[in-house]
Formats: sequence, structure tokens, C-alpha cells
Amino acid sequence: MTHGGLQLGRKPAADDVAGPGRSPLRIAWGRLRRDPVAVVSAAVVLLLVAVAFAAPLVARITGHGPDVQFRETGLTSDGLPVGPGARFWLGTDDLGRDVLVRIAYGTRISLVVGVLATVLAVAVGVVVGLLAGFLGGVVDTALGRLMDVVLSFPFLLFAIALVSIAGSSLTISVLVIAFFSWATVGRIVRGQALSIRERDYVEAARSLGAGAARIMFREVLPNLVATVIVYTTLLIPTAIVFEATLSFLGLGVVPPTPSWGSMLADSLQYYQVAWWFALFPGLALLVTTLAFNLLGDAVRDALDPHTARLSVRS
Amino acid sequence: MLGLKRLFNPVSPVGAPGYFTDTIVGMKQYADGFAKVDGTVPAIAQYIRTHDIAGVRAPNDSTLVFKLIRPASDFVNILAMPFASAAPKEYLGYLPDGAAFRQHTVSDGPYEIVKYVPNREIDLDHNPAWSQSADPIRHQYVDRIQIREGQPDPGTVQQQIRAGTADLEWDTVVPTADIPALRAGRDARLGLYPALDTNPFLVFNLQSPRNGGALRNVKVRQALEYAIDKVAIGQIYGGPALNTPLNQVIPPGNVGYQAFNLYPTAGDRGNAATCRRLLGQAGYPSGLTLKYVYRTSGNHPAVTQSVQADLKACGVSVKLIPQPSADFYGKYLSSPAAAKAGQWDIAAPGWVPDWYGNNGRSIIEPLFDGRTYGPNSVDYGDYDNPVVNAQIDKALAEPDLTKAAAWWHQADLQIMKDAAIIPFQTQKTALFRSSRVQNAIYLPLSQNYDLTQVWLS
Repeated sequence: MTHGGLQLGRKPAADDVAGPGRSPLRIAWGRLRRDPVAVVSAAVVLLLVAVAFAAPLVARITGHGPDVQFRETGLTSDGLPVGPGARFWLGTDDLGRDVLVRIAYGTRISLVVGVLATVLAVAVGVVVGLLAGFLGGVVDTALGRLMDVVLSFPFLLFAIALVSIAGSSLTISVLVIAFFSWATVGRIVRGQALSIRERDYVEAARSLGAGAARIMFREVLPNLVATVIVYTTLLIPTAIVFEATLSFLGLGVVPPTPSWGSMLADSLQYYQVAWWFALFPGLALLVTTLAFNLLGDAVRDALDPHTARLSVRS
Repeated sequence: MLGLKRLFNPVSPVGAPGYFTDTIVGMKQYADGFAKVDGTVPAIAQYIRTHDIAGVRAPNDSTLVFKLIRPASDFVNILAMPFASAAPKEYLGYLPDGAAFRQHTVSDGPYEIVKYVPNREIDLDHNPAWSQSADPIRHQYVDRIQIREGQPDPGTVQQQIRAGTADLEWDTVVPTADIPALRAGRDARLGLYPALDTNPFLVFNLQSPRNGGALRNVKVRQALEYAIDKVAIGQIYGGPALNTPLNQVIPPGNVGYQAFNLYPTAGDRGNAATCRRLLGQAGYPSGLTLKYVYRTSGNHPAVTQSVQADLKACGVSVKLIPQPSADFYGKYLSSPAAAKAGQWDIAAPGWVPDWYGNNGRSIIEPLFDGRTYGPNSVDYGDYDNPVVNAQIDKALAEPDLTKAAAWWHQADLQIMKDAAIIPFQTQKTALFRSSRVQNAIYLPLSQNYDLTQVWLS
């Protein structure tokens, strides 16, 4: 799971210094708003969300359902896809379906799987990481080894095996992706929790008689919010690519539900005669992952511009 | 004799045992006994030396006498298949199909293997033991044949032949997407040859308990016969130049073929209205839900989605079960337990006969003889009609080919009346050759050019 985090190395603006009465999140928000990369990538992400919601509208405007096969108009008599034109704006696929409409519906799958899998992974990762880091001792050792094991799985091979046994579906895709993503988050959170738990205010809370649960969730967790936000934004594109990979291999969503990955897989035999069929789903995937990655980087910079970068790796 | 005996060795037994065990007296017993032998070189050689097939004897070096269980008009066809080729006694020194065997094959044809690296290359040179005077059919025109393996992408193979770095395809065909341009340019290097197959076709699981056993109802199956747009299936495989809609079991070019169509639709495009109406009459006005197991490789997902859309149009919703090829057969189609449990309702396998000419035993008999149903049977749906079984027996025993053909046709008619399958199409194989290849003669058995006929200009 190589993560394409870009290090853009922007220098903090002079007015980044926290003024009186401004919370850290407000400061970060201010920085984010002035970062053109952040604004553009956020706009792209919002646009994607809008497309996902408006997919039926795209279908209405073009008059083409996502699974409708236009065998007379959308295919040549030899069965080749038809290129972009007035009737099919981005051309058709190998079954005479509208590529534009399918990309729009594919956005839904990508975002739903990307967001759900990430939320699930982050939730599990935070809980496990927090427990390991805060409780330490045997719990830490056990959970730490568990994360090591998960991180050392050859994820694609394992995902293929899992899906072949469990059968492919949207739920399975989400679970598989979450399973292979939570350990990264868990490790980071564990490290952070480990350092936070030694801080003075935690000691203070402890000496005031606060219980472990209270300290964990009221004192430590809020200080992890920034980290969690950053990792959530950076995990989403990874999860989207993961879903596309599964669908590309025929292990993701079940046809005829459109997914960018399965569209790319279908287009392979036709790349020489139907460039649009491969190009547009590929572009959609590229733009989406790029936007989420850039946004994630910008969020990270905005939240903590001075510290060394936390690099997502696995 | 040794060739026939080796067929049933316990290490690498023949894939189509029925052709031999159903015809030759004592073959079944010989095979059953052999299956119990250890898979070692001495044990195999020992069994072969000490056991004989009751129905085969060799009175002299050039004569074999067979005793058949019942008359079999196609017996010569069976013997002509590569399975039953003569085997030299040296082969007893190797494990059948083992690595050592593969390095020591002996040829009685015009070429012999001089180099073999598994999955990499096979090189053939002139066989010095062969003489043209003893074999007027085959030739030794080219000096050397080099087969380079390991390129899975047919598009790349196509590029290599175009560039002249390769002359012929080995086990790939022209990518369907390339064919329209080649045809439009009247490229002389493109050859289209009838594959004489039925590929794919839709088989019904007649044992499925789902939908109240709806698929056992012939009226339901007959209704569904009208659903499929066969032209659309053809488009997936490269369009009408390569694919001809088929409405019966026996494809053209095979014994017993007489064109008929019991479920005609305009232009073979399917007719959802007729299908819907007949489903209603069969007692399913609100449709059915069918489990459709399919392979995730090649054109199968596209075919599946095309069929799914057609069935949806007549009110049948389809639940797709994607499977890798091995599981498609192993866990579903070839498993009577899976069929009985209703793990699938419909599926789209394909069928290419093992030989051509008098080949009812290679089409109707394996696919529809209900008496052979069991694990690994290719009568995937458990179709079993005593009328058809009797017709098969009569056809196989009939020495007059014309009369046998009539029986096969009768069986074909009956199977289509019973709507055991929905045939989609028969195909053409598209091959490409470099411009220096001459006398390229298509061999249906290998679905490729006959290498013992070509020469280079």
C-alpha cells in the first residue's frame, strides 16, 4: 500500500503564529483557506460528492441508465464501442453503455467504499492504538504484534483469497479494505498516545483521580484529533484505489454495477480501438486520488506546519 | 497397444475416458484395475506387461483387432484422436506426462521435438526417421519450427506477427477488437475459419429447487428461449462476421445438423414480450429470480451482463455469482451436490467437439445423455430424457452414417423441444499469419494451421 503523499513543503505564513483567542483548529482552518492547493482540491472533492449525488441526474439528462445497453446505437455492428459524440458524450463501453453515466455512478461506489472503509479502519485503528499506547504492558505487546501481523500480510494476495472464499460484494470490499488499513492508523495512534500519556496534564488528571477510561477518551483522544483527521483524508484515496484494484481483478462490486476499476478492466481489450473507454475512468480515478491526497497534505500542513511530516507508510 | 494401455495410467489418465471405456470390451475393467496401481514407473510398467485389455489383441506387428461392447460407427474417429496414438516401448521408462517423459518424446511424424523448456519454448526439427514416401499426407516443407511461449496477451502476439518477428499464432487468436480493421482493409493475412462449436450456450440446472422448481417446468424454459438477443452476444465476440446465431444443439459442420428453429425471434434479437407472456402462461406472471454463476475471465462477464439485461426485460431477475474458471466447473457445474442444492440456476459454458465428422458421441451424447450424469459429467443440468437416450443408442449403433445423422437430428429436435439449453451461436476462429506463410490450411482439430502443410515464400 504505497501511499502517494506529496511533500509540497510550503512555508508557513507569517501570521500563522497563534494569536490570542484563536483555537488551534481555527488557526488551521485559516491556513487551509489561504492555501490554493487546498482550496482547489477541496473543490474537486466537493464536485465528486456532488457528482455522486447527482448521478441519477446525469442519467436523466443523457437519457441513458447506467446499465442500459444500447446495442443498436451504442455499438458498431462488429460490437465495438462508439466514440464520444452528441449522443454519448464520453463514448460507450463494450456493451453499448454510456461511459459518462457509468463514471458518474462509479463515483458513488468509489466514494462510498472509500469513505466507509476509511471510517471503519480509522475507528478500529484509533481504539486499538489508544488501548495499546495508553495501557502499555501486555496489552501493548499483544496489540502491537497483531498490528505487525496485519501490516506484514501481502495485502493483495490475501484480499484476493479472502474475496474468493467469501464471494464478492460491496460489503466484503469495504471490510477487506478496512481490514488492511486499520493497522497503519493503529500504529500512529499508539505512538502518539504513548507520548501524550506522559504529559503533565495527563499526570495532573491522574493525580486528581480520573479513571483510565476518562483519561483515555477525555484527555488523550482530543489531542489525537488532528492526526486522525489527516490520516482519514489520506486513507480515503488509498481505499478508493484499493476498491478499484479489487474491481479491476473482478473481485469488487458485482456487475453490472459500475465501478471505475471494473470499467478499466473491461476496457483493456479495446484500448487500441476505443481510447475513451480506458481514458475517462482512468482520469476519474487519477483526479479523485490526487485531489484527496493533496487535500490530505494540505490539512496536515495546516494543522501542524512546523513539525516534521508524519509519513503514511505501510 | 501400448498407446491404448497407457490411456488409463494412474498418473495422467486420459481426459475423455468414456470414448474408450464405452466402446472397447474390457477397457473399463482394465482402467479400474490400473487406477489402483501406484503411480511409479515400475508399477505402471508391471501392470501394462501383466495385464491385457480383453477386447484388444495384436495378432501381428501391424494389426490390431478390437472387440466392441456394441456396434460403434464412429470407432475409427475415436481411434484417430491423438489420445490413442501409438506409443513406443521406451515410454515405459518414464512417468506418463512427467518432466523426464516430456524431454524424451518420440515422433512418428515429419517433425520431432529437439528442445522443450516448459512454458518457454518448443523447438522442432525434421524427424530423420520419417519419410515422405511412407506418408503422402504430411510434409516437411519448413526446416525448423520454433514455438515461443509466455506471451499471454494476444494483442502483443498480433504485433509480433505484423512486424514479421513471428509467423503464426500458437494458442492465441486475433483479438476481436482488431478484426473489423483487418477485414475493412481486406488483409490477406487474416483467416476466418468455422470453429464448428456452440459457444457459449445457456444451460438450465434442472435440479434446482429454487423458485418452486420452476426450471423443471418445460414451459418456463421454453419461455426463456425467446429472451436472448443472440446478435448482442455475437457483438461481444467480434460481431456477425465471426458469430452466427444458433438455435439448436448441433452446430453446422457436425453430424446430424439440419437447421431448424423452434423459438424464432425477429433477427435473432430476442423477444421480451413473448417471453413474458409465456412465463405468465407457465404460472410465473411476476417472473423469477435465477442464480447465474459465471466466470470472471475473458468475455464471460460481458456475456453474463448481456444475458442478465435480456432476462430482466422479460421479468426475470438474475443474481450473479462470479467465480474463477476452476471453481466455475469444480464447485458448480460439475458438482451434482451444488446442482441439487440450487447453488446455481443458469450458467453459460461452451462446447467444442473433440473431433469432426461422425461426432455425435462428442456433442449430444456427453452433453445430454442423462444416464451418464454424476460428478464431472458435462450434462451439467442433469437433462435426462429416455426418448433422447434411446435415440443416442440407435445413432451410435447405426453403421449407415446418413441414418445415424437422422437419429442425431431427432435427438437435437427433442432436446430443443425440452429446452434443455439456450444455444447462442456458433463461431469462427480468427487466425493471423505473417505475409511469408504459404499453404496455410486450417485444421479444425487443433483450431489452428496445419504445420505440416505450410511453407515460407
